[in-house]
Amino acid sequence: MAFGGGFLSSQPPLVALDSFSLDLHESPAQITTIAGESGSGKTTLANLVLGFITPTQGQILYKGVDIAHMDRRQRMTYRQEVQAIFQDPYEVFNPFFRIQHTFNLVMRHFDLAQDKAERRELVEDALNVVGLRGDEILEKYPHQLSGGQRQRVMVARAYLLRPRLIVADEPVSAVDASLRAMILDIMLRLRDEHGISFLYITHDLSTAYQIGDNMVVLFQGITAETGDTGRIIENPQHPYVQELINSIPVPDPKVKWDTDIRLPAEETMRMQDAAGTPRGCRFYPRCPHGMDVCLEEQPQLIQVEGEHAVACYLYENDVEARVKRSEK
Amino acid sequence: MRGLTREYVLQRFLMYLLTIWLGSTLIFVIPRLAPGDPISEMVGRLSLDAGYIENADKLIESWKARFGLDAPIHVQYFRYWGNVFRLNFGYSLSHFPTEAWTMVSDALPWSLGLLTVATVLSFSIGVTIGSLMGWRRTPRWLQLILPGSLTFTAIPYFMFGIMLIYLVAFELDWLPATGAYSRRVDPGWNLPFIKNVLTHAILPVVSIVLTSMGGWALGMRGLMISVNNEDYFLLAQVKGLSPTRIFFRYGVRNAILPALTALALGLGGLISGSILVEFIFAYPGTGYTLYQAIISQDYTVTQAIANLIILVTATSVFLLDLLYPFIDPRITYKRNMR
Amino acid sequence: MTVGQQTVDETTSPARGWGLNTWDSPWLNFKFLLGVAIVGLILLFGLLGPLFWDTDLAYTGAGPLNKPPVWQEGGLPEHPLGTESNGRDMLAQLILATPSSLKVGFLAAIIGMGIGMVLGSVAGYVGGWWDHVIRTLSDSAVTIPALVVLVVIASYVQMTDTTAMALILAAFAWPGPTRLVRSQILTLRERSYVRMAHLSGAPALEIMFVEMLPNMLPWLAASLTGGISVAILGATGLEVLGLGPTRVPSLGLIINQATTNAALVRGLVWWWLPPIIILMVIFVGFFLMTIGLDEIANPRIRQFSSTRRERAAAGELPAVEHAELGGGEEEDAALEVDDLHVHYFTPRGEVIAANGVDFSVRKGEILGLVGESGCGKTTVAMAILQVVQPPGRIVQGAVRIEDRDLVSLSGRDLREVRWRDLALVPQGAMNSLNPVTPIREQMADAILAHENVGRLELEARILGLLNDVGLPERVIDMYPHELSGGMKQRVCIAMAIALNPQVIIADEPTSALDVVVQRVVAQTLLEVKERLGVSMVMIGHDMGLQAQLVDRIAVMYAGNLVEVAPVESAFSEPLHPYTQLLIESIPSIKERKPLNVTEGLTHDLRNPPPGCIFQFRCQHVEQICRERRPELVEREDDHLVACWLYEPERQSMIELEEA
Repeated sequence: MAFGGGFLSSQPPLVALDSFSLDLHESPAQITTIAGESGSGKTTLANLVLGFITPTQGQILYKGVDIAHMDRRQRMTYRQEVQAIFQDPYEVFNPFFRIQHTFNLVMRHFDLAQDKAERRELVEDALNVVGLRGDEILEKYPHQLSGGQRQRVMVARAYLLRPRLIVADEPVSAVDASLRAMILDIMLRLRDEHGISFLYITHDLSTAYQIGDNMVVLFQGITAETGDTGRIIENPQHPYVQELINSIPVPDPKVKWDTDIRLPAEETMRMQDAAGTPRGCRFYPRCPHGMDVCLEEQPQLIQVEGEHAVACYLYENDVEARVKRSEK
Repeated sequence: MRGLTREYVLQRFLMYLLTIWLGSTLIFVIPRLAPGDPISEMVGRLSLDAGYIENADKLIESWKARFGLDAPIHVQYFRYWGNVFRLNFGYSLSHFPTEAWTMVSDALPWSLGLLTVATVLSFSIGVTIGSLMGWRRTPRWLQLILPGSLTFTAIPYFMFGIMLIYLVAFELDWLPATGAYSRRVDPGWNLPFIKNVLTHAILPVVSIVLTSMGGWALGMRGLMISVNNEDYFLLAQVKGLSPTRIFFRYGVRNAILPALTALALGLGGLISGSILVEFIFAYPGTGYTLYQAIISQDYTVTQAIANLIILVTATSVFLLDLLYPFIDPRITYKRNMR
Repeated sequence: MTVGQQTVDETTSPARGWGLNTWDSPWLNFKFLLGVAIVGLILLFGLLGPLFWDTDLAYTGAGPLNKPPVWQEGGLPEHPLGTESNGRDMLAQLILATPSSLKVGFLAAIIGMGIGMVLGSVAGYVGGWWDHVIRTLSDSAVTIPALVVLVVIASYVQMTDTTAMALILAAFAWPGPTRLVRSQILTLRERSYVRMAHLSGAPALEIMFVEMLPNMLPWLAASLTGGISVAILGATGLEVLGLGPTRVPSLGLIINQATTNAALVRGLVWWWLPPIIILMVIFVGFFLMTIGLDEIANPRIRQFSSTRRERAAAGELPAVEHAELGGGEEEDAALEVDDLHVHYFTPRGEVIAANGVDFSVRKGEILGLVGESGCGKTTVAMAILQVVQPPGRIVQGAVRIEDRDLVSLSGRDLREVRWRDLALVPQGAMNSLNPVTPIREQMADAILAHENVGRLELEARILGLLNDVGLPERVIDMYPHELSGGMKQRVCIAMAIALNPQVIIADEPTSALDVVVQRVVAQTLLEVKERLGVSMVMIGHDMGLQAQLVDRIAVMYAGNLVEVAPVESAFSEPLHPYTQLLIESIPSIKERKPLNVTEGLTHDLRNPPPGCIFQFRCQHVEQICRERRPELVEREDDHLVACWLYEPERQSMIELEEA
């Protein structure tokens, strides 16, 4: 029944993100892409960084301080310097208030301006960065704006706080193709002209390729591959990332998908033992190169070249020995 | 059907016990939280009636001892629970030496019968009306007529009952006004008696059904409208299924699930309302017996009935809970879908 | 009495703003305002009554006994509503009793609501063990028959005044609001705007009251009005049983005195009926408020009633204007869409969702229908399938399969064509399967509606179909919630090919799927098409996917087709500026290129401009584009475009017109 329950539910906890680590540098400002499919843990990561959830294990350090143990002043600084843009431009505005409210909220809680005129000037300035004018939108209700306008207002709101980092959670996946370029362009300009770094969370590798600097590809909560965006997209190493990139439809009718891929019937199948704890390489059920060693333990990240690292036994040095062992 | 899982049944059963515990405890605790105590109140009222009672204090003391009210509160509470468990509520004060439980169990069948018939009728009629009101393909003439059936929805059962008694029983003299059967028929499994019982039940049932079915209808209408907008409803149309099949298998089948939840939630209210209906119609069920017990200050019977009604309500909700997984396969599905 | 809770649909949010200051505010709901007016009038009667009438007449012996109201024989003008067996004046009694009955209701419901809001917010916001405890308690408390407990309590405790009674009633008024507030907070907490408020540094209490509370208002108000009437009912119930405060006049007490004095039998109608009437009016008022608030909170119900009203007001709808029959321009067309116009009749004007859409799908080909959100591509799909939802309607045009115009078919004739000739792979595979029946039954449904098949053959056929789309046999007995998104979509494909239809409409069949699964589903569709030779309309917005799947592509903009071409030439040589824009804005994984940023201004679909619909976004706009709408004309081999750029005579056309 739709009510009740609670005392007796005993589901094994789902590990959304496992042994994940990532360092972001303040300068030069960079766009770091977190890519993955649904269930890969990328939204969990966004929620962790924004402080909506706390990690079961591990910590998130901002300028050396654990965000879980910040005092009030530190937390407000963190709030100001780490901002967010969300996916759905329809849901980010409280339908009860005018657009103005969004900016007032920020102004009230952060000490940004001395008086009303200065506030107005700041808002106007932020809106200009995204190509909007205050008198066009501030007095309107959210439903009176177009999707593109709404998403740009969200970027302006984040910019208003002069953040160091913006967590952009699928900022363009609900926007039409022709507006997508505009939002991505604003992100690039904020990086280059205002030194704002981005954590760009997306399922779409092609937009990441267009604007991203670094990249982490997640698969079921595990880092599959990490490194320079261009290098990963042009020369993917992990079988999963290869499969992912091969599956992106090429916008050219003359270049059709070449190979056939087959997934196990349950494409979201998870590797786990009877007790429900994950075991072995998460990608094993779908991997064309599956070896016995993959069943034993999740592979660690292995450096391929420079910063480029892959979590796959195929790239382990003594892999030949392992292959031999598994062939026996 | 995925049916029941042990976890689910256990969960619902704990809720069941909790409900009974909560209800019975309320009955025990609230009177004791209130200023004064029942015995003093009673003696006070007696003295008000008689003008003056000698040795009122002594009387109160001795009565307290008799009811065990002189014991510390936790002892009273455990004693109370022992009695509830054994369904032993002692003797009726007003009908000594009849046991309270006997009086209650005499009244129970009447209430159960009346309520079951009324609930089933009101829920099924209401759900049918609501489904038709929330369906785009319902014929226009039916769409115009159906809202009329909601006329009495806002009226409490018992007020409607009073008006029915006045109009149908007194003014028109079509049906008997009060009681469950006439004195002139012999109780038993014979046709005249059954006929007599049925004619006596018509007015109470009608007053419950007519006033409560609108609530179900309105709820069901909202749910049907939601289902109407679901993708699977559209796909069913595109599949070329007959409208009746779409209506039942895709519309009502889905919309009824939350309506059943609402039924489980609303059962307490329905039973509450029926007490008043029984009072108005002097129908010899638990509600009427409860009223009489209160009038005659028969505390043992009062407690017995209250506990019984709570028990019956909780059991009905529990049974509905157990039925639910069989009609909604999602409910006991354990995996987290995220 | 639980109406307020039943229809709460937590998934819907208001489509428009909650603005209180506009005239189309949802708060201006007729039922709600009528309810407010009714309750207001009753309240005024109680509050202002003492100014106009001597309430001392409400006490025993104030007048003669058992006098009927003034309009009946024997009535006295000094007792306009008559007197009862103790000589009390009925009007004075009613004036005193009404506000006290209302007061109990308001007090109990407001206290209950207050407790509910505190407990509900703690449960919803703090969560954890608090949530478990509060939820379990309120869930079980809500099923306890309150009146029984009340009656028992009232029999022990002599209630002296209405406040005491209200307090006791409040003990039963909290579980409903608690459950409501909790579920609302759980929903709202996940809303992006609430998260945004967190990020704006707003403290929890401000988020509760400023961000969440206004959006819960209609639900809270519905719960409150529902709660008030339940509390009045409870109080009146106790009073009728003679268990309420006996010193204070109340409507229930009047009824109690009337019944115990056998007023019914004695025919003293004026004794028992007036309090009942007042109570009924109060209940009707709160009831109207509750259902009005339900409509305010749930826009779907509002929309359902308004489309119904509009249709009823419009009377019989004008018949669809059919295009000339026998227009079969193309010999090998499996499906022809002929000059299709679909309009949505909204309260603020007609939205033209499809304006003269005209194309055909050849046998064995996949035609892609692309465009941005809101361009009308899904409307066209729904119009082909004859399932345009009100307030939308096909106002003109034809949809032909084998010379049969589906627009003119209805009832059984239409049902026969459906699925047998024209099937659908729906957009939201997540929600397109009936959640309460197994896959077997849903597939059997489609087959049995059109063919008589035995049980064994049916099972064999369903298993064969599942196998065709690469699903294991055990899927047949599974429920939709046990399948992943990709599996559900493949079930939908299996269902679509069950009757070997001529045409399949695939409405964004892979839109919610991960890229790898998307590819698997797309390949399944291609395989099916190759094997069965079925024609398809593939609706989508992803140009990359279109390039992979379709043979010809039709581009839609703001309800109009702007270009129809074979996919190769559409990609290598797009003619319409909009098509060019769409192709340029595809992000590539082959090369990094500068982003092409354009301003995305669209016109209001209710007022299409004269001239070309793309004029506001077009870089090549000229005078003629602002004046005349370009026709869809074949400019190259099999390549149609609606644009003046390719009309060499355009300059002379303007001059001709001006002359």
